[in-house]
Amino acid sequence: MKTEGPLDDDALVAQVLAGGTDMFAHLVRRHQRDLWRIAAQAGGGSLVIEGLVQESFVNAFEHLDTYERGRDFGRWLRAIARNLVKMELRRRSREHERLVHYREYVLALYDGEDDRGARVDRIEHAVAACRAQLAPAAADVLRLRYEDSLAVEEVAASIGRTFAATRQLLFKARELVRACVARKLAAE
Amino acid sequence: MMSVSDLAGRFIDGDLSSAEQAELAQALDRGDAALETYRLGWEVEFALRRTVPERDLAAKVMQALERAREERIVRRTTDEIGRRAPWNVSSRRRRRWPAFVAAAAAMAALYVLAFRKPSLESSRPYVVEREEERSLAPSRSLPAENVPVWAPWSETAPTTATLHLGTATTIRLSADASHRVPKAGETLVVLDGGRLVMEAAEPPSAPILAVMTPHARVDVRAARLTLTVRATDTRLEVTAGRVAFTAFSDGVTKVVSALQSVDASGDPSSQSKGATAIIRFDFEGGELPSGIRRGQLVAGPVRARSRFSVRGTVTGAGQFPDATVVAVEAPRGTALFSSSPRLTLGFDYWVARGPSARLMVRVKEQDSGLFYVAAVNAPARGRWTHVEIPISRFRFPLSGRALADGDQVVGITISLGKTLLYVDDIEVTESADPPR
Repeated sequence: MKTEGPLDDDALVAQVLAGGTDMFAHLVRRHQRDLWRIAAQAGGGSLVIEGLVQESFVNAFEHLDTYERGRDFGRWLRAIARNLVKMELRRRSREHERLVHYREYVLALYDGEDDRGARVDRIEHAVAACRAQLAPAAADVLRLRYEDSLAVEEVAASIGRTFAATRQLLFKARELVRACVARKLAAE
Repeated sequence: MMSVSDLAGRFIDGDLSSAEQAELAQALDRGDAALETYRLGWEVEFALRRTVPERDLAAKVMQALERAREERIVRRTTDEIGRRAPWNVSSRRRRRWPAFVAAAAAMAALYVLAFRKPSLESSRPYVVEREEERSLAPSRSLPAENVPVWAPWSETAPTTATLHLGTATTIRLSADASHRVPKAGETLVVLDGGRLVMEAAEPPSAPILAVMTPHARVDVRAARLTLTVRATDTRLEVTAGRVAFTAFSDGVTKVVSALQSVDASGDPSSQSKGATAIIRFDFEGGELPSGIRRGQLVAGPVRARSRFSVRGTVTGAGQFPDATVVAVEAPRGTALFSSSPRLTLGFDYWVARGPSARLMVRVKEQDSGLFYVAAVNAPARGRWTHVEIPISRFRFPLSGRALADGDQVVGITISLGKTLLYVDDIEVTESADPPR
C-alpha cells in the first residue's frame, strides 16, 4: 500500500465508498503510472493504452465494494489492468494470427512475474541511462514514438522526414539503446 | 537482413510480414546468441513502451466514470436495440405485465416442487465439488463468520485437546492422537492416529470440514461424530447428522447417517510409477512441498488411493480470477531436470465444468529464462484425468523451437483460465526409448 499523500489508499477507498466519488481522482493520480506501464504491453498507440488505463479504473470503481481493505490496493488495480491487457490481446489475436505468439509471451511474462521483477527493473534503469546518452535526433524520435505513442507516420510528420528515413532512424536509435543496455548488463 | 532486435520490435507492432517472421524464427534457431539478442531486444522494447507520459489522467477517468454511469442508466431503461425496458421510464414504475408473467412462473414452480418425485440425489447433503467451486471465487469475499478462524488448541483435560472453529464447531482429540492442526483459513484436519470427536456447526455458519485419515476422508458439514484411527483401519461413528465418508481403497463415497458406523482399511498411498521418476510430487505427505511455488494443498475431489492434491491459485490479486495456476520451481541455482527426448512430464488433473479453456503447461529454461509451452486442448471436466506430455513436444511459441538436449529446466507451470483446477502426481519420468 502506498503511503504518499495525506491519506492512504484504504482511507481514500472508504471515502469513495461513502459517496466521495471525487476522492477517486487521488487514487487515479497515485496509480496511473503503474497501470500505464501494464497497459502499454497491449501494444498499440497512446489512445489504446489510455483507453485501457481508463477502463481499468472504471472497472475498479464499479467493483470497489469487492476490494478487501487491508490488502494491497495497487496490486488489486494492477490485476485488473493485467486482465484487461490479456483480454485485449485475446481479442486482437483473433483478428491477427501473429499476435497469438505475443500473447503467449505476455502470459509467460506474468507467470514469471515474481522472479522477473528484478531484471525488468535493471533493464528499465539501463534503458533510461542509455537514452540520456543518445544524440538529440535519436532521443527525439524515441520520445515521439514511445512517450507520445505516435505511429511511425506521425513521427515522420513531426520531424519532417520521410516514412522510410524515420523508420531507419528509429531502428538505429533502438539498436543503440539495446547495445548500450547489453554493455551495462554485462558490466554488472 | 534486419536485426533480431528490430524484427522483435516490428513483431510487437504487428507489421511483420510472414517472410520477416520466418526470418526471425530462423535467426532464433541459429543459436543462443541470437536468442539472447532477441530476448534483450524484446525487453528493451518493453522498457521503452512502459515509458509513462507526464500527464494527469484523473480528469479523463472521472469523465469516463460519469459516462459509464450514464450508460448504465440508459442500459437500465432500454434494451440493446433501444426498446424501452419493462418499466415506465418517466415515472420509474414497472409496467404491470412482467408481474403477471412472474406470478404465473412462480405458480408453475410451486406446482412442480409440490408434486415432483422425491430425488435421492437432491436429498444428499454433501455436494463437495460444488462447494469447493464456490470457495474458488475470491471476488465474492466470504462473510466474516464463514472464514475459518481456528482458536488455539487448549488443553481441556489431561487426556484431550480442544479446537474451536468460530463459536459452534468443536473438535476434541484423545491424548494419543497424531494430528496436524489446521492453519487459519484451512478446513482440513489430518488425523494419522487416535480418536477425534467432532461437533460441527449447522450451515451456513460453517464451511465443510474435511478430516483426512490414512484410510479415509470424512467431509463434515453439520454432524456429531467420532473417528477412531488405528494402524490398519479407520472407524467412523455418527451420532447426529450425516457425513460423507470416502475410503481410499476404492474411492467410493458413502453417506453415513446418525447411529450408523463404517470402517475403512487399506494402504492410502498413491501408486508409485516406478523408479524412473526424476521428480515426483504426490503430496501424500500432507504438507505442501517447498518446490511448489503456486498452489494450495487441499483434499480436493475424492479419488482412490490419494489423500491430497494441489488446487491452483488464482493469479493477480485474486479479485478478478483470470487463471488458476500450479507452479513447480527448483531451488535457486539448481534445475528440476536436464532436458532429454526420453523424458515425459505427467500429471493428474481435475478441471471443473465451465467455459472452454486450454490447459497450458509451460516449462522454464534456465539460461534464457524462456518458457516452452505445450497445451492440453479440451481437457476432461469433472473427473480426474492423467496426461503425459513428452518433453520434446514443448515449443518456444514464436519460433516453434524445441528444448535442446541438456537444457536445464527450472520451472513447470500448469495453468487454466477462470476454472477450478486441481493437480496431483506431478512427475517427470525417463524411459529407455523416446516417447511417441
